[in-house]
Amino acid sequence: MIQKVILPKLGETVEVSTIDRWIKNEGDTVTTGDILCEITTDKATLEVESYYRGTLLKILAPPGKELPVGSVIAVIGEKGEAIPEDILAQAGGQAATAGKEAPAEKAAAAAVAVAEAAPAVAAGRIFASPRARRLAAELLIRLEHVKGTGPGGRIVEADVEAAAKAGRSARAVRASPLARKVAEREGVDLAAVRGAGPGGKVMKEDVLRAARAPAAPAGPPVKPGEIVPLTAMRRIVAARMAESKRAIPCYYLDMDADVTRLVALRSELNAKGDGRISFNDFVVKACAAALRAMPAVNSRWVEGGIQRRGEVHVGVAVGLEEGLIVPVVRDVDRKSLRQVSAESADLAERARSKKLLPDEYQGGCMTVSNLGMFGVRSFIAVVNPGESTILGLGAIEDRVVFREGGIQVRKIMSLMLSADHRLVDGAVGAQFLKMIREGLEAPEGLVE
Amino acid sequence: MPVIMYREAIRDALAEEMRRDPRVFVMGEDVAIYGGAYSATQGLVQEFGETRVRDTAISEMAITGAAVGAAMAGMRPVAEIMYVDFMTLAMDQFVNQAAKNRYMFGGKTTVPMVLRTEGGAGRCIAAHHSQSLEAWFVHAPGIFVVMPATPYDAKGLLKTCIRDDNPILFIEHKMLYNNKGEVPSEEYLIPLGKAAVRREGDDVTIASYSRMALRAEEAGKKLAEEGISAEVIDLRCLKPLDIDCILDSVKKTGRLVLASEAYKDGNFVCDVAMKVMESAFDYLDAPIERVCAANCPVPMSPVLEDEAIPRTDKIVAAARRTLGKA
Amino acid sequence: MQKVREVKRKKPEAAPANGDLTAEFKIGLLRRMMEIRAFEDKVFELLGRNILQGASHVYAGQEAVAVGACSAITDRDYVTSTHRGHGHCLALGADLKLMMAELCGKATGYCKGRGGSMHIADVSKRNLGATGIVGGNIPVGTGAGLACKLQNKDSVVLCFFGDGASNEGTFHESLNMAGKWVLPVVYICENNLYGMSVAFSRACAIGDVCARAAGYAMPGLKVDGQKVLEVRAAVLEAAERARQGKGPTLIEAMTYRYRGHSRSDPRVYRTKEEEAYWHDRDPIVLFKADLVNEGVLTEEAFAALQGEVDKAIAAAEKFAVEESPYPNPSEVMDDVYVGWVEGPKGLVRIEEKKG
Repeated sequence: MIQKVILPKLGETVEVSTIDRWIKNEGDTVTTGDILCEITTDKATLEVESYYRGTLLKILAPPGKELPVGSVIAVIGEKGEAIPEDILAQAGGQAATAGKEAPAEKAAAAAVAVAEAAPAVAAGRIFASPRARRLAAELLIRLEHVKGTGPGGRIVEADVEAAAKAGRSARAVRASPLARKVAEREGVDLAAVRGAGPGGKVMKEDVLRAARAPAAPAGPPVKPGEIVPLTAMRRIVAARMAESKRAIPCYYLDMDADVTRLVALRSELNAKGDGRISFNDFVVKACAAALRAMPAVNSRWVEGGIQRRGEVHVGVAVGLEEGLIVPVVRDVDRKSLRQVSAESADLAERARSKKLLPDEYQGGCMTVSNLGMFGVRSFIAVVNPGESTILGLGAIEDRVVFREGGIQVRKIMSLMLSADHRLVDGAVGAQFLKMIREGLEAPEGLVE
Repeated sequence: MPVIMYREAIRDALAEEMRRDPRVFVMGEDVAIYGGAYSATQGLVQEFGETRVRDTAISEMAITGAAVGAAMAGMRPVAEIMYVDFMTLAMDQFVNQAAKNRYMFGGKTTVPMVLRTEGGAGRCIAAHHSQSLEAWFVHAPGIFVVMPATPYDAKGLLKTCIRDDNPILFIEHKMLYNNKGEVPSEEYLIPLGKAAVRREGDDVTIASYSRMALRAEEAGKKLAEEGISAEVIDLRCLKPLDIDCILDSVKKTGRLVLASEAYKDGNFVCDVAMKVMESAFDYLDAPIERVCAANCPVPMSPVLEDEAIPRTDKIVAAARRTLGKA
Repeated sequence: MQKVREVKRKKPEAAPANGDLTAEFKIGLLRRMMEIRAFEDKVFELLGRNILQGASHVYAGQEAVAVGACSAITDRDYVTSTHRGHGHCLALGADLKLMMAELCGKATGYCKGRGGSMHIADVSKRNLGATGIVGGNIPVGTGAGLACKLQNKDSVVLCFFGDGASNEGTFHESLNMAGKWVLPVVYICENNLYGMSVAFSRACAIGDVCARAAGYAMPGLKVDGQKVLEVRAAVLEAAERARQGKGPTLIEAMTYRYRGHSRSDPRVYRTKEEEAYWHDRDPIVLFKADLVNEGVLTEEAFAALQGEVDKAIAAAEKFAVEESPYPNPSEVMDDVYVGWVEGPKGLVRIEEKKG
């Protein structure tokens, strides 16, 4: 049978070798161990031995030719046996390819060099410590407006805190003393009031008008056609929502929950203790229980696969003037309803006053979002990247339902689950939502 | 609670572990009759005999390698290299054989040995007897490095090390041997990989180990006098490192000073600083400071030695710098 | 406090003396040598075809030393090996397939592909491993001997190393320690006349390794490393000495490696005449002739044996090269430590999972 003689790799770093001379000739009988030829590597001259028995039918590599290691240099077989065409062709092509690799590599290397040659454009640099930058981003303070007192004029955390405090107090607003008094009494932020007095001074009437007007977004009024630069929060919300819609294949499940018992229980609990338990708190607990019971849903899509989450953290969406933030209540499954409620309220308060730490708005396993207070009947929420699901809650309405053979009026809340189909299949999502609904319809089980 | 010396704590740990487990034995230069160059093994040969407390020839390679082989064949040796400076003679056996055998052999063996040694300056015995070489061993995957600063830590950690199945370098400090501290007479162990917060504070974190941990505590006291609240951490274990302790502290204070008695270049604390940067970059309010020994062989003359090795006032100055004070 | 329990057991079996060997045992020795030779030849071929990567140091020519020595000990004894260690491992009864797989860096290898040729170990057969450092295992073998002595067992350690290692500091420190502490170690120097390219005669201040024994209070002797039974007899005697508490022995076995130090070695430092001389003293050929003369082996039986060996090697190659998977890259950090694993910020303790 035909056996190929391969140019061996004699040395870890050897890539090519040259045949020095053939010791056996075409037509010679060879056996295992016979030296066929001598080759030269970059280090030494070495012998190539035969691993086969038979006749050296054909020499495919003449002396003096540098070939890559692994090339076919000869063929051994039975006397008179035919050598397959592909082996002969392969040998012919070998020498040709030996030289081909280099130019492609060079071109690639050149391309890289050109890309790197373009220098980074150095902008006017602001020197601020990482901690200061982070705080500034959270508090939506522009570093250009902060004076640095650190070494070399570097902005440090204390400087950003100082700037934040100064900003909160009336930003050198021109206002009449009476206007200031009224503003304090009515709890109106002078900086947000448009002054109609001489030279834009804020007068008492302006303050009163602002106090009566519905909550208008803070900040200077926008001229038509003007492009408002993005705040950090708006930028983040936009990016995350777009990413979610782009990358997460969602489907949506719609279920109604009968929350009649839940409404009653909540009133009872709030009458008894201090602190106000909200509907969201019940929902958060029900979600946590479902996440704990269904590990497949408590997961996230990461590079390389699906990561199961061991812990149960649930976020509750909080709408702010500038945008949206989702503070996360951690380890909900290990906390009682009252604890969750207290934490949730505290987080929401700090979210509004922009005092949340990154740990407190990152790392959620799922989000609960409630637009019921605006009268929304049901809505489809957008899954937060990094989570598997989001639950949208609608307004609690009295509805007529057909039950136990008759017509009843029950309190119904719409539950809309948006789920990432990469992680959660339809049946699984449905079971998950069902578990949440059942939790809400037997709310006593959520109290502990 | 009893108050004993660092070296007595070490001796007690060895005695207790040898009573508890017949596989534990001690060998090294001058450990038996002499009781150890710094008296850390005093009294052991009287209790356990020369079979289990063995004086060796001056053969660091054989001492270390024999510990590897004995550990792989079922014993739990505690070998001693008298000065960490002499670890250079034992490097191959510790860094190539002890450290790597478990991994190279597919996890099918363990090397449960402890190599005790001591280092550090302060005795004017100069370049070959005063070094701090822990960085070289932290660098080798497969071995643990433990450096206690107090008698309490020395005893609790040495006992844990002897019971652990990994090869461990236990580096004592020659200037700490006669320091006294409270050590319970009841049995206790200190787990590996846990740092100790010696002082709580809000303004700056000072992390250190071995003798420098004591200087860091002094620095903390001095800083308090001028109204700077320093959080002082004693790392105790360089590997496994309690990085979370440091990170939690830095996230609180925003400023970090690292102190070490080893030469500045390639110092272990540079790795710690990098780990902090990787996980807590956004929490840093100032560049991380390091206070290390000068990049020169440890000099003999007391004046020069004192200048080369980090002093408390240098740690204080570094802390103040992080706060933007001159 | 842990107690050491005294278990009364009957005296463990010793290896039979040379005079008491059965024909079957002797053919087994021959077969083992042939397996080693075929394995090593295959390794060299696979290196040339670049199927085997990295470095491998081939034992061909020295088979009688490993087989003779390892057949003289029992399964309660230890062995430490060298970078040229396939022979020791196979002589102890290692599986050809698992060894080949290890050399190919496959997950099914003895060391899960982590050690490769130079760091091969079969801990279950009491082979404490090979090392890439010349002389690196001499202290380790000495320490294993110390452990045997402390445990009051009559186990011994065979500590293999080469002529080059006899000039390393580890050799001198270890033999001094073993001689002084009377440790049950049989130090076996495989003198194949060359370190890498430098002849022993150009490296060593004296002409024999065994003469150094006198400096370390132990007997030293030289044997013909190409004669498997001669090696066996010497090791048997030395092991018995050690078991009786009389301490270590240094055996110098004169032998030859047929191939270069590694695959890129053209062996210009050896003459063709010298190589021919040692090829004429092929340990397999010599032993085969002895067995044929004794009437214990026929040419047909030998051919059949060779056929079986070739099949076994081919099966090992197939297993290793074609059938065995590479390790999963995600396992690269496994088993660096006991009880700890590398996390994103540094080492974390592996939680005990109660089953």
